[in-house]
Amino acid sequence: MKGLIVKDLMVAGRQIRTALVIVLFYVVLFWRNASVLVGLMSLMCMMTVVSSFSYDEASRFISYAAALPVARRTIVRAKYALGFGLLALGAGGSALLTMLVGVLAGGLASLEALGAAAGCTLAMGFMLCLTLPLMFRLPVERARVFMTLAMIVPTLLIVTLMQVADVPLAALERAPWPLLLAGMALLLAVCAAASYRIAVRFVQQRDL
Amino acid sequence: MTEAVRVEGLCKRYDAFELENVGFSVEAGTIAGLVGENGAGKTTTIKAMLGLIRPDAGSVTLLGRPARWDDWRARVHVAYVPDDCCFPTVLCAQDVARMMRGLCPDWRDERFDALLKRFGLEARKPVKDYSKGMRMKLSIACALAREPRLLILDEPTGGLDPVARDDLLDLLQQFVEDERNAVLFSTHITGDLDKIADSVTFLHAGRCALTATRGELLDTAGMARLSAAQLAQLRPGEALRVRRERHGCEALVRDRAAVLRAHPDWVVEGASVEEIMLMIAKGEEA
Repeated sequence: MKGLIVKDLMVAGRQIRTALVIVLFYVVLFWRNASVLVGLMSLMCMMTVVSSFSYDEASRFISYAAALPVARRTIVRAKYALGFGLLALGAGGSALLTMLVGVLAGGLASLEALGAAAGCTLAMGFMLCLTLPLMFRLPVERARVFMTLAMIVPTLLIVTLMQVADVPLAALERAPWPLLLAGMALLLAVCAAASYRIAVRFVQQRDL
Repeated sequence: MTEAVRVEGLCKRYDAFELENVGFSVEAGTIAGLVGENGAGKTTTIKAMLGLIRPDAGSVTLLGRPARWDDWRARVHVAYVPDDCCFPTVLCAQDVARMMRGLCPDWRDERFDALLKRFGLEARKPVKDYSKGMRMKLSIACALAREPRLLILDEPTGGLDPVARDDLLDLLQQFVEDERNAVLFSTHITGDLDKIADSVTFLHAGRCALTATRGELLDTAGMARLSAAQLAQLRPGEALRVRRERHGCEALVRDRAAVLRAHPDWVVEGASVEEIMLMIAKGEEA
């Protein structure tokens, strides 16, 4: 499994310059409003995982890996380890960046920045749980469409609910957010386990 | 002599293609060729052997171990070289080695480095800057660096220049010299089989048309050029395939010496692997 993660990290490393330019761009653009930066690096880390599937598909690497003495389950495990590992890294980076910019520009308070970064990370985590099985099941470009829909549809639903229905979402703002985050983290762990099992099933049943 | 590969009754159905009842074996210490026209089922057969696709029926044994499609342990001493390089093109050979080191416990760095040197491949050049032949050489180096006992290659000489092809064929012959290792390679370049194959299996339209040792093919089988009347005189089972043209007929016969003894005035000659392949692809059952 280590070799598979190393491979994806090496491929991602080739794009590091582009990634740094993007981060710098957003920092410069939004240095007065650090709240935009919350989750930026988590999002980029998630996109790195998605891009790794593009490279694999282009080179038919998964087929090659499955012909090695490597279980198909291991191939799936490596992607999940990469995804959630990068997400954790992105969360740390995002929180640091946001706190730094916030302190410099007098924007978001430090503790709130941490909370917001954690919330974004958890949201990205749920996205990963949805995206990874799709990436193993469908061609990458089709999976990206579903992934985009998975981001847009809930957002539209929530916005619509807030505007049209009398849903007391404002009550959430008064809720103790550390407790909410803990609850979300627990739910994420359950979703991640289910997502992994589904992805393993997809890969085991698939002709490569 | 032990068997390195045994394939029996392999079947796989797709919408537009069906692999039906494919079977052959490869002895240790030998090189077997799997030949057929494009779309004959060579790659499908290899993928079924390696567990990349789940066959609908049949069995595969690799190095004495039943190779179920979901059993990765069956591939421990088996190395596969696909028809195209399967590494992300932004990586270089050094990166590939790093990846394989963390993936395969049997990986040998010194062997890989020696093969890179032998093939003249630059370790730090990205795969995207390699030619097709260089990519194939990289795949072969990765396979041999694991010191496998069974090497399965899918059209390995496609894209190689004549010198590189000759080098590769020599390498494969050296690989089986110890009588323990075996090679199975698919190709439609019949010259490769003439040079090194100890046995050949011909696939046509998803079926195994003929499987024989090279001796049986080249020393025993033959091509008879006959009239329609002469063709009718052949005994059942004597001809494997026939081709009826306006100017005459051709028959691929199992035993040319026997046919000549029975009909000394007929034109019956030895057949090359290419002629046999063409007869299988374009001829019909006798």
